[in-house]
This record gives sequence, structure tokens and C-alpha cells, in this order.
Amino acid sequence: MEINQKYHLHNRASFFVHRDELDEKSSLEAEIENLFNRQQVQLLTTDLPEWNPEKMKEMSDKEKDELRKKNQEVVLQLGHTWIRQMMNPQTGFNEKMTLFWHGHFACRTIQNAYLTLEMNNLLRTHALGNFRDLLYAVSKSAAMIQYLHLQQNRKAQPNEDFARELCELFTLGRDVDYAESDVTEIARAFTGWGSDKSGKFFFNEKQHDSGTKTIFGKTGNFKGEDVLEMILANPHTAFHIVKKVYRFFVQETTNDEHLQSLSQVFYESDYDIKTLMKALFAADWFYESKGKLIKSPVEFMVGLGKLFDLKFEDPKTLFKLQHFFGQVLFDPPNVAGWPGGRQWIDSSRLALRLRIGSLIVNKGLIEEELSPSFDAQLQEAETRGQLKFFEEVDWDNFWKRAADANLVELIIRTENPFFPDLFKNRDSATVVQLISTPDYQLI
Amino acid sequence: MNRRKFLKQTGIITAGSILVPSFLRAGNWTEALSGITKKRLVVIQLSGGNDGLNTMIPYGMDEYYQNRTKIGIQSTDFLKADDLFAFNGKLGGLYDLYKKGLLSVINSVGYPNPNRSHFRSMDIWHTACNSDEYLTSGWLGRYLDNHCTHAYEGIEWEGQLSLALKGDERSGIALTNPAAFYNTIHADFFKNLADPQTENEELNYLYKVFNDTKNSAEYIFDQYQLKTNTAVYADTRFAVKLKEIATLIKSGIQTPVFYTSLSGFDTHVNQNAVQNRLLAELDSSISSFVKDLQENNLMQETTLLVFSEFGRRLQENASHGTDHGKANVAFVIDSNLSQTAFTLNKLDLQNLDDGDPTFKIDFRQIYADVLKHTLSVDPDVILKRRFDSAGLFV
Repeated sequence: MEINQKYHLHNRASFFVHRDELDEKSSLEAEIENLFNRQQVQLLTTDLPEWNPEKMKEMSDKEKDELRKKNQEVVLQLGHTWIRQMMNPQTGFNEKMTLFWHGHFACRTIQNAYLTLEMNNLLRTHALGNFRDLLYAVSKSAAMIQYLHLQQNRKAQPNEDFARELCELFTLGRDVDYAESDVTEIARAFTGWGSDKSGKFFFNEKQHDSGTKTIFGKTGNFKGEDVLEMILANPHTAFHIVKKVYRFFVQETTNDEHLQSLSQVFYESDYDIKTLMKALFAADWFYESKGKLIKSPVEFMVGLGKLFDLKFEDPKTLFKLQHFFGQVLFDPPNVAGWPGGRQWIDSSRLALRLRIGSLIVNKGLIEEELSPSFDAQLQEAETRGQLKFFEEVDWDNFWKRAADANLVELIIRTENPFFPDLFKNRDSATVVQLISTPDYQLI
Repeated sequence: MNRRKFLKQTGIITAGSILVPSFLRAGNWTEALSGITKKRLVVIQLSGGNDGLNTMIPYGMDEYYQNRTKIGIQSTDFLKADDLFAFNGKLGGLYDLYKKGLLSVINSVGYPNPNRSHFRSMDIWHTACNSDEYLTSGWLGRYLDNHCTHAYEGIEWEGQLSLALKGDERSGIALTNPAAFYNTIHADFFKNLADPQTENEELNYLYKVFNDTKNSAEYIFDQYQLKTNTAVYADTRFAVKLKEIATLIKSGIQTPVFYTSLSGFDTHVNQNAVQNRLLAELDSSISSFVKDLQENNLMQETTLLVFSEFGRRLQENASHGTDHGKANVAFVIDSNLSQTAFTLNKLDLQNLDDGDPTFKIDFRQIYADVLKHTLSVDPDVILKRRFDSAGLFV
């Protein structure tokens, strides 16, 4: 039982854990402490293509095309490095939190390497820090300023995009403690917020509406920062964040009691994310949620990668797989992020997930007479050089690491009554079968 | 042991293409044949934002040529529909359908507070939401949720399923090769996986989709093999998609919704060459498809809807192209169009919204009409609010 709780903790917090990483004698409390203590914040670095809006205006179509390609290449690399960091036990939990915030402060930056790096690193920096700092950093980031049209939010012609999503998605939750009139007034408070040519936050006094505003029933000469503070002072903000954390780390079906107790902890800690996550992992009900969350495509890929110690050496392959599975990093569907849960699964995607494990183990070798539509897609991508499966599973390594593990317990999180009988053998065929089950889609 | 042998041993790949004659398997599905709508909807998505102004050319409006000195379509290259509008010359087949009273041109289709991002605007069309809200299910997905029981009731002939066909509980199926899809999911190993029926709702959901996928793959494959489609279509990718859909329809498959798309309409540069090629491909494919269904007496009960996520600006850009706009043109092809359906080609180029024609018909009015007329369901439930009928059908 104890070992299953540890498997559960690590699967949820950092995608997967090998049996040989677990110390049977340590207590669950010690395991949690250890998980937090070993996390490092490792910022992504890369050589950025030059970003100069003035210069871009003068570029020829060919030069623009080259810049676009360079951007794509760098973003592809960043996505690749990110996945590798998710697989690393020293950074995995912090990266899982970063992934959560990426869905919460959803921002499409995939076409711009500069904005991608800026946004992703600030999410990483504050991933287990303080939500107030995170909210300020995101609100003042060039990426979000551009995405939600803050630059176009001017005194003479306010743009409500940011104001609306700030309330509805980022903090209070839809229609909680705010009205249409608040959105309009909040937009006025944020007029003048923008970023300069180098992508740094810039407050344009001239575009700021310094008149009196009425927000949340209070009247004053409010600025953007005042609005953020009023929103943070409202406990419903803590509740909204906790609810999203719960649906990401615990289960889709929320429980009001659990949410209330967690959001109290979060609010009283003045939005300390570490305190929130420690309370969550310490709760009994967290361990009852084992096997009740559908893995996101990224969780699926990272988990599979860790299980077999894959290297995922080719960034393009990883990118294409994200595309086929329906979750591309830096490219959420809209500002509301990925809907998650059952929305990850439809017939075609389930079939692909059930097959992909055997494709990876099979070095992507596709039998001609079997070419399913995905295989055809995958094969086309492979011919175009977008996809490469070249990994050899190191089975000796796998069996060494799994020496003390019950295979079903190691790989499967559900309590499927048929599985102990169905998967009695300890051989590679059984392992490949286990990762090809509906049960393997759950974490 | 080589890799292939190893995988065969796991049972995850089938031993080869096992083509069981369909009459041996058809029996399971007789019960499914009743109670489903007799009609079907075929949605064709033009991805990238088709330029509606060079599709249905408002040649009788001065503003058109004033703003399109380089890419405006000249009279030698269009087919007059009336005193104001003409079909792009590449749309000879659609023009014929229009003349026969089978095609409605609906112009200035859009929604309030339009969004010029491909992504977001397509989202809005797929989910039928307002531009300031975010829905996670598609309009046809909600139709499947409320009125269907199997994945095969919504078939998208593509590698991946569009949001339009994703419901909260039930989604359509995306495929391009029925035999292959069948083989993927009917490997020996999967036969041994029985639904454990535990108290874990998510696990139950996965097994439900798993079993539905197996059944649907089998059913679609069976139907697909019933007849060889001998009708003649052009040899283009899009024509093949419509031909495959026609093959399924002619088999008598119980699928009320089909979906497919033609992409490449994002014509910022040298628009006319690109758009003309695409429109010709669209026209030829739809013409063959309609002819194929007509010859098999299936067009009576079929509706086609052709749309794109947004139109393009009235003013051409400096690169002989056009940039993202707002309201656009849509087509509906059906044998029971009303008189009103031929009065919906309206456009105002004098009162522009930031350089774009404004919308006059909400796209959800068209959805409401096809939901009611073609799919025989209450549109208000599917669209989550009430929209006035566009008056398309008798």
C-alpha cells in the first residue's frame, strides 16, 4: 500500500517514478519533503533570433520568411528542452507546475521565440513561488500584453480583452464577484500598460486614463496594480486557483470540502504555492484519486519517456507527436487553455495512444500491409524527415530498475480486477502490452 | 527474434489484413438501422480564410474595383448570377447548381465582435460560441452527445478530429483508411481487454470509447467494402475525400454527419493564382460528389454546407493578396431550398467595419436551419441559445 502511495505521489507530481528511485523504508512525509527539496529552477536558455520591430518593417518577404523559420526552429528546441527537463527528477515537479501555469495563463507564443522564452521562464521562476509575483509578472510580460491586446488598450479607446480574462480566467472565475461594468472600469485602470521595443514592460503615462473609476464597489483613481491587489484580497481568487490545481493534480470531479480547506490554506499563506501543494499532497483524499485522471498528451509522452529512459533526441518527432495527440506546447487552443480530462480522448486519439507505445518500442517500424491511417500520417511525416523513431529500448536497464517492482503496480494506476491474471509474466511483451491498454491512459 | 515477430507475439499488431466478408458481420447492426434521421449533413471547411469577395464577386459595386485594382476579377473571368454578383469563373459547377435552384449563396455571414485570428475564429465556428466565451465542445459534438450512440455517427475524413465533432461525452471519428483503422483497433490483444466496470468513472469512460471505437471501426469497414465506387472524380486530394465519403453514403451507412476540409486559403501573397486553383478543386470535387449522389437518388436527403472561418479585407494589400477580414460568404447545397434562400446574397461595401464588410447573418442561424431541417433536432439545445432561422429551407 505504502509503495502504491509513493508511486501515486510521484506520478502526479513529476510524471513517473522508477521503483529503484523509491526507498521502501522512508515515510510518506519524508518522501514529500524530499520531492520539494530536490527541485531546481532551471531556466531555459537559447540563442534568440534578433527581434526588432522597426527593422522587421523594412525586411523583404524572403528575410521575413527566414526569420519566421528561425523562430520556429528555436521554439521547437525550447519545447524539446522543456520535455527533457520534465523527465529529469531534479526539475520534474517544478516543470509539472510550469506546465500547469502554462495552461492557466494560456498564451500562444509559438511563432515568436522571444515571447515563448520570456513567458515560459517566468512561469518556471514562479512555478512553486508566490502567486502574487506570478500574476504581476504575467500581467507585465510582453507575451501577455500582446496576446490580450493591452497595447491597444488606450485612454480614448479602451480594449477590454485583458480586463475580462484577468477576472474570468486568471483570478476570480467566470461571473464571480464582478460585473460587466467592473470589466469596463478595470480596462480603464490598465490603460497605458505596454511593452517597449526590447519587450520590457513600459507604462505609458500619456495613454493612461487617470480619471476616477468604480471597481468592485470602490471608487478611486485606480491603476492596474491597485486592481491586482483588490483581486488578490478576494478569497475567491484563491478558491478559483485551487479548483484548477485540484482538477489538474487530483481529479476532474471536485469536492467542495476539499476545495474549501485547501483554498483557506492558500489564502492564509498569502498565496504561497509551495504551501498549497504540500497541503494537497498531504491530504488523504489525494491518495484516493489514484488512476482517476486522464493523462494529457504531454503527461503521456513524458511518462512513457521516463518509463523506458528514452532520450527523445529528435525535436521534430516530439513536436509532431504533440500535434497528433492534440497538445502542442506554447500553442494552447485559446486563452482558456486546454480543456483537459475527457476532452483529450476521442476514438482516433485513443487508437493512436494504444498504438504509439508499440511504435516506439518497434523503432517506428511500420508494416506495409498494416498501415493504419495514423501509420500513413506518421509515415508521411517520417518521409518528410519530420519524424524519427530511432530509439532502442534498453531492456537490461529497464529490468535492472524494475527488479523489485510488481509490473502492473509500476505501470498501471487503476485497480483493474482482470489485470493481475492477464499480466502475470515478467517479460518485455507484457510491458509493451501494459502500455497499450486503456488503463495506461490514466494516472 | 526480430521486432516484428516480437510485436506479433504481443498481439498488438494483427497477423495481416484479415478481410472478413462483410455479410458475415453485418448482422450485428440491424438494430441500429432504425430511428436515425434519414438525412445527412456534409460539412466542408475551407481553412485559412477564403476570400469571399473574389468567390462571389460583387462586380456591380464600384467599391469592389476601387479597392481591388490589382486582384479584382474581371468580367471575362466570372459568371453573372444577377446584376450585382457573379461567381468566380472557376466555380462553373456551383454556378450550375445555383441556376438549378440547388445552391444558396449566403453572403455577409459572421458573428458579433469578430476575431481575426484563424485559430480563434475557427474555434468560434466549431463551438458556435459568442466571441467572448469559450466552449470546449463542438456544435456537432453536442448533436452527437444529445442524439447519437456511436462514434461512427459523425465521420470526419481527416487524420484528426475537429473540435466541431467533439462532444462532452461522445465524439465523432476521424479516419482516412477504414481497413487500416479496423486493423489497428482489432489486434488480437485488444480482444482480450474486457471492460472492468469499476467505480472509476474515468476508466469506464475510456472503455466506453474503446469499445465504441472497435465497433465503429468494424461497422465503417464493413460498409466501406460493400460496393466499389465507380463514379469519376478528379485525381486531387480533396476530390478523393469526397469520393470516399460518397462511397460510405452509397453503402447505406447510418451516419448523419460527415466533415472534411480543404486548406490553403490564407492568401496574403499573390492571391489569385492560389485561390483560383483551390476554387477549381473545390468546384470539380463538389460537382462530382453531387452528381454521384444524384445518380444514386441520395441527393434528396443530403445537405452540404461550405464555410470558412472568416473573409478577407475589401482593400487588397501590397503583395497582390488580402489580409484577414470578417464577414464572409457561405454556400448551402440542398434539394429543398426555400425562396428565401435565394435572397441571402447581400453585401454592403459602403458601411464598413474597420475596413471589412459587416456581418448580416449570424453563422449560427445557418446551423440552426440545418440542425432542424437536415438533422431534425431542436437547434436551441445544441446551440445553447435561440437563433432566428435564416429561412434556408422549405
